[in-house]
Amino acid sequence: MNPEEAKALLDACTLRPQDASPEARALAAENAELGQWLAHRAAFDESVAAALETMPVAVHPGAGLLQAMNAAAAQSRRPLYAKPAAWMAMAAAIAITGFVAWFMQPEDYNWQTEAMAQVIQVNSGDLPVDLASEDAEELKAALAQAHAPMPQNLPSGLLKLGHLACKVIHVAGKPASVICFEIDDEHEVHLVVMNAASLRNPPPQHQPQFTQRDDWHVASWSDGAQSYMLLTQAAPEKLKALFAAIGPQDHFRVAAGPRDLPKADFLALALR
Amino acid sequence: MAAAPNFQQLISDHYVGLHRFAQSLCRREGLAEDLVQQTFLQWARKGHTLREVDRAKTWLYTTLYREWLGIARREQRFEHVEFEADQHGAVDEAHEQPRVDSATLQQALDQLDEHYRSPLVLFYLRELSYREIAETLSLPIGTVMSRLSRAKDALRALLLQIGGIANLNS
Repeated sequence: MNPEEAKALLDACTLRPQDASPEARALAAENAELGQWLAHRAAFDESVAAALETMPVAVHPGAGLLQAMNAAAAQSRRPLYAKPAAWMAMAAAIAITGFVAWFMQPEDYNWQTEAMAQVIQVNSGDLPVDLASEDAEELKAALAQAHAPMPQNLPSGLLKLGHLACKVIHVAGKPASVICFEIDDEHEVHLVVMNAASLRNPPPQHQPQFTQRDDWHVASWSDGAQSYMLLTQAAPEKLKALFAAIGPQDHFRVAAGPRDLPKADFLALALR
Repeated sequence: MAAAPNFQQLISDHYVGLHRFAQSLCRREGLAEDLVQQTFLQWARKGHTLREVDRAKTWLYTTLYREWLGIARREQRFEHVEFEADQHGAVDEAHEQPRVDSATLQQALDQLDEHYRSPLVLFYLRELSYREIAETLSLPIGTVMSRLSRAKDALRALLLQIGGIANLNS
């Protein structure tokens, strides 16, 4: 961790110093300039927090709110998960819907459009992520729990990005994983992972296709049994650079050969 | 697994914080009250499905924020304007600290863009960690950190600006 990274983290934890990593706190203790900046920032934050606490709250809840909550709780139905029949019906419906969705896909069906519409909502915050975390293990666990596709081989440039979130969406009636990375200070890049077998027209193997849709830059490709799509509003060069760390094709060739280079396992996602 | 907090306890612990957050979002007293009540009613209906009851606080703030997004979308009040440091006057950290009181703070917060105000108010309420703020606002952690940093700079600039004008008028 360098002083800039420590600064960003410490700035987010001035009022709850225990939330900052020991490494960042140690750096602030060692680095006089950083320590002085932090003390100054913390003093400002304390004064603002104190002022916020004195801001009047005009309305206080009366007994009415408590009564309304009790009434709402009494009216709420028994949760679905407590009904085995509902589980079975739901499982059957999902299975039938999935089969029909695949069977009914027209030749010109564009799964990318369907995925992209959802990713745009994730990006804008209209569709909440399932988990926001820097911890790749947490994200992996969340995707595994949801039985969502787990990325296997990823472009080497993508592995260097940090700050992650994930969400499971449904495309063509099948689950797809969305993993969000921060590509620069202003933009995220979103990875969509699908099982290629779910698609009638998966993108070509080991050959990223770059396209632009409105102000979104998109790369799509397949690798083995999985199909991928990357979407970002950052400059197209930044998207292409994710594939260029080794060479436009080398990544896929090398990554496909486990004896030449270990697979870029999702676990290896490097955090900043 | 911990026992679910009872309704009275929940109201007692979180009403004021939620109300301040709601007020910072919508800046209308009546609507803020509605948002908070709606959030508690949602808890009454659905809170029992939450597997980790110690996450009730995050659940409440997240639910309130989503309720607000729905209202804002219908009213089309939610335009994203990126913060321009020059517009508010970039501030050198070495300079003096602005004096802050609740009225000045309210005035400054009202002038901040919504995308910066939301994480900032959650931060200053001290209720949530930056990770929980990210979860509440459904944003990547890095985005929350950068928005917090920028928002604090903007707030400080606004407070100095408002303080300067007040001094001139006095």
